[in-house]
Amino acid sequence: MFSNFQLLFQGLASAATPINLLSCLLGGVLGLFVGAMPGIGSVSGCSLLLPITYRMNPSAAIIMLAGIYYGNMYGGAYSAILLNIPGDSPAVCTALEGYPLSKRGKAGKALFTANFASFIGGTMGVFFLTLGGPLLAKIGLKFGPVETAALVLFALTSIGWMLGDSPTKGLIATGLGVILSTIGVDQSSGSFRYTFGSWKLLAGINFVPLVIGMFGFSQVMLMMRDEGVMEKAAAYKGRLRYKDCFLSFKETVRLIPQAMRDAILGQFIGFLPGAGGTSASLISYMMERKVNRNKALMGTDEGSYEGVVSAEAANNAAAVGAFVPLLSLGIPGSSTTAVLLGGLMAWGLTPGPLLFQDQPDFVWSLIGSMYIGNLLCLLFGILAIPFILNLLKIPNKIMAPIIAVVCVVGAYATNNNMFDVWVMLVAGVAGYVFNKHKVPAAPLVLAFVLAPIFEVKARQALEISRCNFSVFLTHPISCVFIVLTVAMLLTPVVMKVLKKGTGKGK
Amino acid sequence: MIVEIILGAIFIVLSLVWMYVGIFQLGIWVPGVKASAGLVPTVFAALVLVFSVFMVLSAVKKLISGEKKEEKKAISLPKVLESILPVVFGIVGIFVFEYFGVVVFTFTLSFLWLLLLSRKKWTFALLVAVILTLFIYLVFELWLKIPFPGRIFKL
Repeated sequence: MFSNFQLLFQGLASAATPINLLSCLLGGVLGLFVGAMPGIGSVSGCSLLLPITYRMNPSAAIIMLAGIYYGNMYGGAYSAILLNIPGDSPAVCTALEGYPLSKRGKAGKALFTANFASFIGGTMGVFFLTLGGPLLAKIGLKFGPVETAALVLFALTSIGWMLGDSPTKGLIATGLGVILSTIGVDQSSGSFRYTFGSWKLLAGINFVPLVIGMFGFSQVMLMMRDEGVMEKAAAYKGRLRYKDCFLSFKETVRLIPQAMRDAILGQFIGFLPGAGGTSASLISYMMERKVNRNKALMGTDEGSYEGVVSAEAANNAAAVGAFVPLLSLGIPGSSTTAVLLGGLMAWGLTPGPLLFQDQPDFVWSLIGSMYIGNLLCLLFGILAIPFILNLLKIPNKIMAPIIAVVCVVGAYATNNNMFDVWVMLVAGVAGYVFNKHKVPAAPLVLAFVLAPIFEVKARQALEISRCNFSVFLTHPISCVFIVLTVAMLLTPVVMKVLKKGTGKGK
Repeated sequence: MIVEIILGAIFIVLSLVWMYVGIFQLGIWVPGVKASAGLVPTVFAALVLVFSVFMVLSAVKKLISGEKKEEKKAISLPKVLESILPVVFGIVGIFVFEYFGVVVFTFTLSFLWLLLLSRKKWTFALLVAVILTLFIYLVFELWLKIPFPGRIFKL
């Protein structure tokens, strides 16, 4: 435990070097602005800003990416509170409670509450990462190919269920992600597969253009059909002054314990693969509506600071919580962390149990930068309140061509080849069709990242056991994950049968 | 519903192709020795196949029972065009990007998009296009030194 803090101080010192500090600040500011733009969201934001980090040194680049990530989480609350449009899905509950406050002339205070709760959630999340990350990595070191394959299989099935209204479509998206990832070189044998005679497919489909298309270009197409944001922004006549942007001492003291409670809950939800910030903020909000002392105000036309705190603290804690399995096990907890995983891999860093052992400087300067980044986001978040209001008034139809240009340039910059640009465009159209027909794109992206890990480990396990599939049941840890996977697949079917039975009985 | 059926059919074809290649060309496993390159793709393609069939069947069932008739009425041509035109602009833009370079691409795409698709005044479109082009040029070309294409004309 003591050594963790010793390493953390070294990490803080490394994160405080001018270049890392600047990367952290720039990432946080960019993330805040992008997160505040309605409809863009953290996945699109991170994937669009990913190319900016090319040519930087790995530490500075990842620190900047992490800054973009949690800056996005802070930013999501702005459009939710001021315009009743969540910048990202986790900010839905923030809109529910924050917008009524805004209508009552308390927009500044609501934004301060959101920033403040995000800071507590984020900082507690990083503190847990400091303690829990190395511990989980130590456990992860005990995982052989059998256990890792079973864990990733469990993650693959759980993301399919969790991310979307329809489990069927979620699982289709997961399967599609896996089969798309198999194009190109087979990592176990080195031979080519599913290239269909095209030399352009020999290297497979690149992750970054795929994700830029799925989340960035598809947004452009959606934006061109929606004018709602412009109308709402134009209708917002309020002006915000700094003196209106602070809570009283009494209010602050009242909200701190609640923010800490919500942060702990959010942190645990963040660990689960695929659960992410949306589930965290929803569960935390529902919990507060049951247990909070001021629950009577929540969910009313009045709005409440407690509601804003519950959503934002849990969301930010979950966002950082997703870093724990990412860094210590190599399993991204959310689609945004999958983008970060793609970024890490682009710099030749493989997250997993060995990362803490082999690259301690990198890991601890990243964790150190998260403490600093959260503080910078809080300060900048409060300072930028009046400016962000003006930014939110930029209509979608002006943002769309700007994002389209960034999508093309960003996709090309990944590998400096035109094929990636076409991949981005096709993925964009697919993402748009998926969005319109409620096929979730996030499981596809997560599965695309996880599948190669699963395949390599599963085939290693089968080779060791001479193709004996029972090996996954004879290892205790693996057996637990297999049972959980089967339960995850069967639960909705059983629930449906039970529901039908009850209906007939009635 | 019709789009959902088409989407499901595409998934079914895709998964069948993956399974065919996996089983007959790559092989599933060498018994008692190892798993082959076709195992994982085939298993997951089978999963996609099963759930896609389920998706198509539910869509057909809904179509027969007459659900979502209102949806048909809601689809109008201009609305469809609003989402197709960005793709057309994207395709033309990518060709411009490949043959004329990033500067010409950024300027023309943003200017014409704002003028024709977003219906903004030409002065405003020009201003945004110039600022965006300058930003892209400074960040990606000068700072990041990305070797952009531009076979015919490159700034």
